[in-house]
Amino acid sequence: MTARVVIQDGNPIWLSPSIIPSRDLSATTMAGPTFAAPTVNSTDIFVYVKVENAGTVDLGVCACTNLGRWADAVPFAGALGAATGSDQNPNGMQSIQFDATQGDKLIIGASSSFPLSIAPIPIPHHRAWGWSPDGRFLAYAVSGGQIMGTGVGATSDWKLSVFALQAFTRTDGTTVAPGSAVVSTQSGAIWSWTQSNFRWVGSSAVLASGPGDPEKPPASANWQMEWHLLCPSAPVAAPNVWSVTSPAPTIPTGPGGPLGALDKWVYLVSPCESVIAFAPNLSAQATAHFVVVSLAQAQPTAFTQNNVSKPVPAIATQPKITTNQHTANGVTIDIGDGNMAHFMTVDDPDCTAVSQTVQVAVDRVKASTLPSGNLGVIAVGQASAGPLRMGMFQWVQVPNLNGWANQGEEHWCFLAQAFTLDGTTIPRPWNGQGAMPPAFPVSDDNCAQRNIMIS
Amino acid sequence: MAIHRFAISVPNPTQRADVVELELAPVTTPLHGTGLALPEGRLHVEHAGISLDPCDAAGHRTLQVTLEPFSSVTVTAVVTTTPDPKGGAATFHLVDRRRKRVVGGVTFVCTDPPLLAAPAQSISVLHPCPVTLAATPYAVAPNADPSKPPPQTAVTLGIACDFVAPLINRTKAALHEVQAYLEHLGGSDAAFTPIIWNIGTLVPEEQIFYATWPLRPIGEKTGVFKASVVVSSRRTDPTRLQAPVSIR
Repeated sequence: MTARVVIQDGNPIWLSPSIIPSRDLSATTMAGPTFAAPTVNSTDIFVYVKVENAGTVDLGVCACTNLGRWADAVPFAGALGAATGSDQNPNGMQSIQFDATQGDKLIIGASSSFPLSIAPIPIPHHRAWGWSPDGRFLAYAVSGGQIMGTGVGATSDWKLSVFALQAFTRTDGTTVAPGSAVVSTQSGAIWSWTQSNFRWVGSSAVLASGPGDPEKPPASANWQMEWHLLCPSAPVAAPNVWSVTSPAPTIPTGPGGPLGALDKWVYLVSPCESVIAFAPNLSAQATAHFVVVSLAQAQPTAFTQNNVSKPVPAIATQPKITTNQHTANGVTIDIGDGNMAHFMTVDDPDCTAVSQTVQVAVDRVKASTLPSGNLGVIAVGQASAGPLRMGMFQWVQVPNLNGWANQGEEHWCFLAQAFTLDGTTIPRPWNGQGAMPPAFPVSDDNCAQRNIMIS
Repeated sequence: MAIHRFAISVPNPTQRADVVELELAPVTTPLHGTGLALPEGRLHVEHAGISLDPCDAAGHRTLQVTLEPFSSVTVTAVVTTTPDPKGGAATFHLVDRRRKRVVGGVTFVCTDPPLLAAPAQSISVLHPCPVTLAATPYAVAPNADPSKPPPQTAVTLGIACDFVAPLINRTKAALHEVQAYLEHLGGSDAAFTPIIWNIGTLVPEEQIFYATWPLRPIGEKTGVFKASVVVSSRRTDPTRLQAPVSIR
């Protein structure tokens, strides 16, 4: 799978037919315009750039094809209450070496060893862990005893971390080396726990819920329920842990009473793992709203309908969510009673909006006999190419932001480039607005130039 | 006779001196695909040469110059043509060779009569997507309800907002696989997040989809600009909608 976009070079190279200044107002991105030479006073000229997807992957489209019922978050599979032991990732590539005295270690490959947390681990050596289904992470919880000051032997506190098993890059561009913690948090109150209090939300987040029962709020009004959602992809500064204590996310209201009507919370992850939905399973006649949290941002979000926020109330007894298509109104919610007349449709939170588009940027320089001359770089403008499927092209209309002043020289050269904004799929090849820009890489497929006259 | 002059910069952006061999080479084949509507005839060229003197009336077909590090020189290509009542064009490459390799060049065209700017035209769509704007686009606070335009709908310089384009299907049949994206914000220097909206099915009249794009008016320009919103649907061509965006 190769991401590749092309702006066709010319013959000679400084006359690309894919870069055309024009006065035309083209109503479609499929047709090229007619050429027009700007004058210094022109105000009505766009630069049209033809960009083609010559790779083997669609660009600007939903990268995930998973559809269907939103899955339950999966409790950790591993737990240990002994001083020593080991566990291997089902993929066979990593393992944990448990040693309550020296501290547990994550083993990656044949010999690389990374400390997981505290040492020594006090009796009863209380740990739980789960390998992410996609094999990229290990989530590990341990009771240190001293965190809450409750002494050796306590099981009423925990520290939870998600470790990278391979190099990982967050959405903010920060990177984490294999064996390092991507995100961590710890209990803030006395917490009795087992492995069922921690669960993988797809492979994109880890949820800690409790204390005690991880799904049903405690009956006593004196006890609160907590949720901590660790999101490896989220920007560190966001922060990347979303924590909330009951009465949030919501207090169920209705004849069943403020707490008693809620049998349990069900934690559902969308098929492409962009959000988790806290779905209330309720007793008869009670209502409570779904709560939605973005896993990319570790922030609450909302269901939407035609991109307008849409609160979704659940009723007794078992709500379900199904993604039918990755579009607006592509998700069906059975709000609890199984009656299709009551079903609600909302926008698919995974892919109604796709941000990863190809961008086209155009600069101009004074023409010279060298494409690397960089004489007087002036930005022209930038525009988005929209969805670009394999083998397709678009004529992108780039507006001119800075006029056509020619500084007394009539011969200029457009420098056009195409790239994606994530910096990785197709990195931006050149920044003409930076200090001392290097030579424009005209030999790159996604770069081209064209000489013009500005009279 | 007509004299055509072209001033051309020859740079050396490296940190060592370089010897440049310049050659003026006539182009005898058509310049396909460049979009230039050149006169069909070929002008008779009486003389063509390169010179370091901008007033030189002749020059030579080749010229060697030595450039110090990080320096440049401007050479003048001079082409003398015989006037022809039928008109025509003569095209040349100025080829730049360094250490026996072609490293660049420029192309210039002498025309008689001079090229006139083509008038602007509207290029229509064969199968236009019928999705249209339900109302004039407006700005709302970030993450605010996009279906409720505020009393003041303009973008305020320096204050982030969401740009809203309400989209509607005014035909009598549902449109499928509808998509929309913001191509650009016209001559504005504001920045935006280029989201593609997968709207899917758009039901006639009753359904409005509120496409939004986070907008950061971090520049200095104010006024009304013509943004370009591109819409498409199954079996139609992507179609540009001009959407005014007011920044104050």
